[in-house]
Order: sequence, then structure tokens, then C-alpha cells
Amino acid sequence: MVVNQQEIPEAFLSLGLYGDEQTGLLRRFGVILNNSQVSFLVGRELEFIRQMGGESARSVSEKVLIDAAQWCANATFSGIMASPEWAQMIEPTIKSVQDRMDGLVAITNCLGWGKISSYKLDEAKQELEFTVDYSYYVDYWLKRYGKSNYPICYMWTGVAGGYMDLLLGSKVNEFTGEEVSCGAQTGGNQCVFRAKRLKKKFGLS
Amino acid sequence: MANPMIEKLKASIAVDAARSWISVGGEEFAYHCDKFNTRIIKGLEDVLGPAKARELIMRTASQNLLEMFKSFAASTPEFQAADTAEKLTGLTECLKLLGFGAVALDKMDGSSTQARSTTSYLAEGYLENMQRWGWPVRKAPFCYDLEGYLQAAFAAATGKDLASISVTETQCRTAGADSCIFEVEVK
Repeated sequence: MVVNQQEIPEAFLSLGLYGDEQTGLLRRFGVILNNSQVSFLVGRELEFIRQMGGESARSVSEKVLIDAAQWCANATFSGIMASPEWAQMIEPTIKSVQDRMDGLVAITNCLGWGKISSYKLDEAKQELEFTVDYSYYVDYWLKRYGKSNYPICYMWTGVAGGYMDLLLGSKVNEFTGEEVSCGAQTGGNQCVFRAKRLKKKFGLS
Repeated sequence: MANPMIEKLKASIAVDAARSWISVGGEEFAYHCDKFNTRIIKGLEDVLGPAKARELIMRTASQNLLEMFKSFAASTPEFQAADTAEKLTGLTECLKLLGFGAVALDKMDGSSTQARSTTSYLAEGYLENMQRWGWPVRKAPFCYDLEGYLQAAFAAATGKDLASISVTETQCRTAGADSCIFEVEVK
């Protein structure tokens, strides 16, 4: 990795991640950040699935949440990559798509979502696989419900597709993410995500 | 002069870089941006409708934040010794610290308060989406989680339960107003 995974979190945190004393806004890296309770972030998603009808509507509910996250990843990380902070701290070290992914990982790992501990980006196959340790969904779920019968890290699943839209695509939803192993299912602390290019139906785009 | 509640909250912020884990006031937090939060709400509104989406977001926000405020208050003598107005000021400062925007408490009149924000982060995010993605001017307010956070702040400051506090955003910048206005009633 060319991007320094140690220095970037230190530099990120040194920016002061509090809301402005006057406006209460936290404008950093070209976006407006805020600091929310994980119990709110996960709780609202699970409550949404419940209100949609629970198990019978889980698939469509999950699509809504994953899609929102994929759009978010595109808007958030494209904003971050266009920011002065990125230009100063990260852009000078980037010489390849892999380096750009390194930069995204370094920033993502500062946000409290859990830590991307490894990833493999196959540019030829247009596939990405990465492992997240301590996804914030997992601890929330295991403490309340025990092991899950299905993967639950919806935000990360959208982010997987969103990374690839940004790295190898030209617009949102060219890629799709999947959680192939979830700590909430295994009882462990690792989740694995995969993203690949969406197949074109009937050879049409 | 530094607000002792804010200083205490700041001092409680802990980061474990090895896990990418952030804690505030003993509770796990995470940074997200306005794009994520506005898009999630839009998704919920598209599927559930605005009224149910508002209720879901507001309730989840208020219940979770009230638990944290209660825990924080129990371990903060300065909070316990403060009067209701001082507690509310401290709690709205906490909201600023977390990046939710600034809220001014105007027209406190017995059980009624009008709160005003010109920088609600959700409104800021929605306005950016209008510029960048062509989202339309809204017909109704949008700052559902700030409604919930204010409900939690008033409950914590008055010692009442959430059911005793009603918060309604009556004007919103996303619908063309100059400020987001919240009417708060304490029963």
C-alpha cells in the first residue's frame, strides 16, 4: 500500500471532528458529517424492515437500504475525493486504481463503521472483495438478538457497490454489492463483502 | 466561558483505531454524512410515506438519545445542579458538538417553546441535494431526527417522559423557509 494507513487516521482526527461552535455543522472532506449513535443508525433500519412487514418484506426492504447506501457512497466518496483535504493528504500518493482504493479504505476506517482489514481488487474481473472487522451492525445485533439467519450489514453492502461505481464505473449502480459472510450469522467479528459489475440484460445496457 | 457539560462530553470521546470504533459518553457512535442520512429518509418516505417515515425516524432518534442523555446526566453533577433552561442550553450545545446544527431556543413561554435552526444539518444536506441532484423543494418539513433530538433534550431537561413532550417542525428551509422552526409543548 502506498497510502499511509497510519498517518491518515491521525491527520483525519487532528482536523477536529466536532461541529462548528457557531453553526453546529461539521464540514470536512467536502461533505457535512455528523456523529450519530449506532443504536439510532442500526435501529432505524431494523425498525423500517419491521414496519414493512418483517420477514415477508425483508428482501425489498433491504434493497431500499442498500440502494440508499450505494448512492450515499457515490456522493460521499466523490465529495471526499474532490476535497482539499484529499488533495493534500492522499492524492499525491495515488498512481493507480489500487492506490485510490487504499485512500478510500484509509478514510472509511476513520468513520467508526468498523475496520476494513483486507481487500482484493481485481481490475480485470471487475470484482472487489473486502473484509470488515467489527462492523457496527454486528455487535448491535448479537447483543440484542443472538445469531442472525441472514446478513444484516446493509450500509456496508451498498458501500461495496459504491466503491466500485467510483473506481471502475461511470455512474451509480453499475456494480452491485453482496455480503457473503456476516458476523451476525457466524457470531464472530468479521464480515466479507463482494462487489461485481451488474450483468446487462439481453446484452443491453 | 467553557460549558462544563460540553467539556465533559468532549473528554468522553474515545477512539479505538484498531477497530475503527468511536465512543461518546460511553456509547458507540459513527460518522456519516448528510448524503447518507438524507437518502435514507428519502428511501423511507418513498416506501412508507412521509408521515410514517417521520414517526419512525423521530421515535428512534428520541428514544436512543434520551437514554444517552439520562446516563450522561446521572454522572454529571453540573447537569443535575442546573435549572431547566441551563440544561436545555447545555443539551443543544451537545447537539452542535455532534454536528446536528445549531438550535436557538426562542420564545420560552411556560410549557411552550419555539426553537429555531438556520443550520439543521439535514436541511443543509437536502439543500445540497436540490442543487446537485435536482431534488424538489419540499411541501413539508424534513428535519425529523432533529425533532426527535429536541424531544429527547426537553425530556432530559424537564425529567418528563417522551410522551409528555411534543415537537413539531412547522417551517423548514427545505420547503423554502428562512429557518427551521420547531414548536415544543411540554405537558
